[in-house]
Amino acid sequence: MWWWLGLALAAPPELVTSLSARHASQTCDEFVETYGVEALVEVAEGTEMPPWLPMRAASCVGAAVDRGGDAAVLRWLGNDALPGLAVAAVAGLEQARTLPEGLAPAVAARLADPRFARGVRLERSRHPALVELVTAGD
Amino acid sequence: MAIGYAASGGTIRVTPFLLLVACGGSTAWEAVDVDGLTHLEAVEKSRGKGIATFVFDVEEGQDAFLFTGDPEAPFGAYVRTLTDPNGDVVFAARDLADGVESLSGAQFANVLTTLNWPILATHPPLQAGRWKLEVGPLDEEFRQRRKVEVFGALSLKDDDDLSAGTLTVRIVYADGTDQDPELVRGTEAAVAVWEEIYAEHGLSLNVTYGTYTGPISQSTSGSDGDAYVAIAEESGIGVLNVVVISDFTDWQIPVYGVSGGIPGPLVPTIRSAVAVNGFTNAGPDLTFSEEEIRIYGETLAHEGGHYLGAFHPVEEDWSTWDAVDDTEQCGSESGCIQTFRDNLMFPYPVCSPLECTPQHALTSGQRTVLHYNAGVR
Ligand SMILES: [Zn+2]
Repeated sequence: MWWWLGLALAAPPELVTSLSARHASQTCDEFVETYGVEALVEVAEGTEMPPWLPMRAASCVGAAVDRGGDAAVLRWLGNDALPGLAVAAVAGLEQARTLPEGLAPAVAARLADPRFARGVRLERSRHPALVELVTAGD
Repeated sequence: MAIGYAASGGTIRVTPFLLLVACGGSTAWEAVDVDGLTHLEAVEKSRGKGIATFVFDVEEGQDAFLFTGDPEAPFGAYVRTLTDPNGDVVFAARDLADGVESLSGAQFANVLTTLNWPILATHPPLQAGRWKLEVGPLDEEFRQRRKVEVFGALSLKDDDDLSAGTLTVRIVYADGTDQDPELVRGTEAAVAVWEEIYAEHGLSLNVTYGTYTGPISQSTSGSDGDAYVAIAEESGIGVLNVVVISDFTDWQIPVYGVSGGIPGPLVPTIRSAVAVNGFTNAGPDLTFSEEEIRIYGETLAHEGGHYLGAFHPVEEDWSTWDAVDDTEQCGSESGCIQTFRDNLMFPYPVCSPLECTPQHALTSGQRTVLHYNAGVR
């Protein structure tokens, strides 16, 4: 058991260590396959240090949006207090093969925040539904 | 530690003000006027078994050099050997091929190759006379290829004091990060932390700031690579560029900080920068706490350490190490944390839930690696 923010964090310590590395050597797919999406959500929402640890976990949840990560990603898109989780999760969508229905509108609602827009260059996205959000009207 | 090979490169641009140097060897070097450095550039073509040979003379008083070999696209490269004026091979990639110890990024295949010499405190002082350096241009199957043009850039320093020096750093806000006051505040405060850490080791930083407005990401392929060349060209030769970005969307293996080489080039190439992602270093609230500023500063110092030639004292497999003599070869995660938890070059910060152990320490041997770099003068 790993204690984090005074709460028992069920996520394996090996996952926390790997995600804390300055230079990640494992892909999100490897983390998802080895530890599952729930463990990654727990790290994203339950850890603070180093600062990239929850961000990296959130990006891997975004990468698994088509494998059970959608609820957490939608939750973060609606959370103004922790905008970094939304940025990281949307960045991770680039590694997802498909986007669930309803996700693009939630992303669109966030784009008015210039910091969010700066963190996700959607014009480069592999998902046409996300590219459309920033090129409509061009 | 394997460094990935990608088929791009060949992007060094030669600066003007060239003056032909009568070196007397087989390499036709051209001198480029650079403040505080003797800087030479030349092109050699690989011959025989696919080796491009650069011959150069070291003068009395010159203490260290840094060589970058940038092959024409789509080839990669490594430094095969370095031979001193006595005819002794002082660096041979094949001797390091088991990968157990990392001495220089030049021992690995990469899009371009950079070797500083000397590297370790145990290496003899740089000897005046004729040196020979062999570059192996590689195709995508890692075979050495003939008739490949390799651009070579050689910076030699004359440094009276190899235990103190100054590194010129240019912080470049790219990707619109200059429009984000919190990222600018956090970065400037982190640079101050970086300066404090390096001052503890006899290194001072000469820092300037700039912006880059073109498209860029952490990738160095295609037009993103051209962006890094353009940034480095504006900085000039002999400068460590730190590019602050905020975009994450090209993450495959994500990066919070990455160095263009170990060591990195001192001339403009696609790898002539440290790239840091400002947002990842600010954490989920995208606002820098004091602790996050300190860790961001350590990230800059850590990546700067890579750029100057330092490897992690141990990699996360706990069975490959740097070649520095006084960094213990620990053999387990717990043992390595015990030994290196405060070491600047440890592969990750050692944290409890709300704070991380400050990582400012360098061993004497690691410090020497940094001071020998030709960019420190
Ligand atoms: Zn590192």
